[in-house]
Amino acid sequence: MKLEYSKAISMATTDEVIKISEILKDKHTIKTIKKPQKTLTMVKMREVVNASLFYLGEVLCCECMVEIDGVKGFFVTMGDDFEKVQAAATIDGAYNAKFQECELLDAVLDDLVKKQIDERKNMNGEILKSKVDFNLMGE
Amino acid sequence: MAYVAIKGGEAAIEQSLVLLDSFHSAKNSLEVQDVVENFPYLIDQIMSEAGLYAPLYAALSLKQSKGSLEEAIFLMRAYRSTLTREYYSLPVRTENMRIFRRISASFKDIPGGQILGPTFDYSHRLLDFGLLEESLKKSEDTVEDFVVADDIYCQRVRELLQKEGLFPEVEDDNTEPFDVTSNLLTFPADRSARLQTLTRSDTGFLGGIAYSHLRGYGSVHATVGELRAGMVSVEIEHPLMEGETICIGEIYVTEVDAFCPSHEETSGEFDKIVFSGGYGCVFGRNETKAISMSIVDSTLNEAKEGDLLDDEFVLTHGSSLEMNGFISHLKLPHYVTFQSNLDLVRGKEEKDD
Repeated sequence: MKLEYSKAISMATTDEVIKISEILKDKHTIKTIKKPQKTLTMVKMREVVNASLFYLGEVLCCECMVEIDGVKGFFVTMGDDFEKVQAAATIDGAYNAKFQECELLDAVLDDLVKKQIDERKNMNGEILKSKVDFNLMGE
Repeated sequence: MAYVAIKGGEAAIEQSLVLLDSFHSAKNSLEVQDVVENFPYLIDQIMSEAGLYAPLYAALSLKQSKGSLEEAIFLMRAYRSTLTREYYSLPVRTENMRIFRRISASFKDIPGGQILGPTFDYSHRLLDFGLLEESLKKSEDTVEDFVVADDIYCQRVRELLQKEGLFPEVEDDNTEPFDVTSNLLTFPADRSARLQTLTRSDTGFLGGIAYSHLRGYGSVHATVGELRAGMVSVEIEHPLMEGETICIGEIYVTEVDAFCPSHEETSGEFDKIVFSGGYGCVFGRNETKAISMSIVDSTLNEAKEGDLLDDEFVLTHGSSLEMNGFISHLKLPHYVTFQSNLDLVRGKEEKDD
């Protein structure tokens, strides 16, 4: 799965991810290999003074592994949404198995990426309105 | 002197816990999600000091602890210890931050501009009594001069000075960081250990240390070269597909790059004045803490023998859990300790008589 798709899935709602995974539900056999469970990811940061690494802290995540027609799919996402991570692992499995539905998944996920970008545009515009416009006094 | 085990007090303790609930029971209970949305700065502070990014759980801990920050952080740290850490992220680079706010106190004109974003800095510190009448459901504000824009990314201010040769261009140092949550901290501490400890430190403690240094107890006076706050992606390697990366989501961070003039010895008569830096980065939005962290980092970078501030002092006294835990333990019975003090005083008095 492309990195940008995994980002879109991580940032999507549960319903959105489940809906996308339903593209695969009736056509393939899906087995859960590792039940959704909570875990931690340690965030490694690159600081800017010496460009060295340090640990910022941990992020609460959940992970899940499934098998879809015998091919493994896996996902980790922030938070504790077990339904979402299971659906995401199914989508990942479809990409790993290179199913013919991948083309449709690509289209749906491209739309999701675009929707998320569009949803941020208003906020970005509002933020940019707070950019300082320096003028010298008297001009 | 041996310790003596004693019994008793179970019923009193049980009643104390009952009272904790009844004394602080609220007429209207807040939904945990409401806590997340209404107190974002508090949630960020809990996550930062607990070292665990989980906004909903931070809100839950705050609700459970009835607003006690130290209890909330304790709950978060305790909960974190029940989970296994399966993943380490790839290095997060904040130059890829999706910016909400970005300012520089060093330069007026910076590429991308000074973006104030949401901040209390310019607000009137007057109580808003209108909030007393605020209804539960807020109506959406109507924006008249509607502007849309792409995600905001900004070049680093540091790069301006690097181009002038005033800051050295540094190559990535990929040495694996020290992890203070899994290893015993030793001194002098590795810089990665220092930064991890500082980012988990108590905001007030770190602010106090930085303030004392700025007031004259330290030799470094840093300028905020750049302060940026926004979202960064957290990515891990796909455990099944070699070469693939998964983005697990975005986290909100505040980062400060502090610039400090420092001396470099030369073969000539005078030292050369160059720039050195201090770094601060924290979970969520906590500018005072990020700035304080950068000041303490730059101070420790420049520390010389005999300086008031050393890394052992700073790094062993800033953890909210340890600090408050140790102070709190003074409330526990110290009967034997005090009796021995009492005996000493009484003995002395008898001798004097």
